[in-house]
Amino acid sequence: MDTSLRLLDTGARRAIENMAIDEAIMREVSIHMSPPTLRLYSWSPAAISLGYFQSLEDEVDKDACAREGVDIVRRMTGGGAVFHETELTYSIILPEEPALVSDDIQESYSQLCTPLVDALASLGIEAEFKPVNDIITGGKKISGNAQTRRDKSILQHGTMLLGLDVPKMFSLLKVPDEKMRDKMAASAGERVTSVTDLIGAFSEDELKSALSSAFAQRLRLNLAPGALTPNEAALADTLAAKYASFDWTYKR
Amino acid sequence: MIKRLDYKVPGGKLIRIKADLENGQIRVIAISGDFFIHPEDVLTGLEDSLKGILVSDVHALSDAIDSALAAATLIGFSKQDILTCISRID
Repeated sequence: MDTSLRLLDTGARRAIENMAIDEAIMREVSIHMSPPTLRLYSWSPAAISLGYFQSLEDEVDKDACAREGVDIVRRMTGGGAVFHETELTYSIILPEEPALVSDDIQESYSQLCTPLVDALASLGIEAEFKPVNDIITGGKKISGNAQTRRDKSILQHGTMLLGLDVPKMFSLLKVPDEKMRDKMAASAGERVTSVTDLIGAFSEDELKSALSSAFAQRLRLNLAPGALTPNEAALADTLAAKYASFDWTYKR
Repeated sequence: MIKRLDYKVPGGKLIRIKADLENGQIRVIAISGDFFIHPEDVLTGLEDSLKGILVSDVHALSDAIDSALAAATLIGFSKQDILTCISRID
């Protein structure tokens, strides 16, 4: 059995590319053409990603996103809308067999969130996994995570908030009552935090390295820096069109 | 008539229902929210199988939900939560 964990750092990309690359890797892992993979990435321009089951019209202020130059993309995973701007995003893609994590989905969230807790600990931030899919520190959310399982493979992606602009985030999302917008933004500020809010300046490279090592250690795999395979790159190009399409974006 | 209902599962996720009802009967229904269903594609099957059912017919709703989601894993909500939402929509 291959015991390596491929590490990819795909840098900052557009939302549709980011989601297409995740799905491309997952498809190749499913057919055992690609190894277990940890991918680190970020978003340029900033984007809102929408959970697979969310209604775009209900959740996102499209006009505000267009004005601010913020992309909108629907994810292949469930969960809530996320504003991706100043964050470290990861995806971990594993085959279901041989099993590297529990076949119980809720349990595997906990297992795959532990490396994030470890990485935060390396920065001196004490955090813990909070079911269903969050990581919290001092009662505030610092990371959200979402998982899907398809064709005998597991993909979990998520964010570690490095900085946070709550008023901007709320200007892009729909709120039930316009009069509540400021109040909701204020209360979100009480419920969400970021690495910068907690410790000020830090090295993003060291954080990436701590996160990669923690994933390798917890999964008992050997970290092996790599690149997308030609198959994955070609597949990602094709899938980007799906993520850009009206049918996919307005699926719900 | 289009009816909407949002339901926050205590300790769980938000379920949003939008349904077109005719004399209490579901013509079209859309279920959305920040929950997780594995595999994901079963939700469309559930929405299809709910068509034609009276929202007051709890047994028929329950049967449709049980059968569409028989092999699914729900995270952040339960089949009962969906039933509660739909039966409250009218």
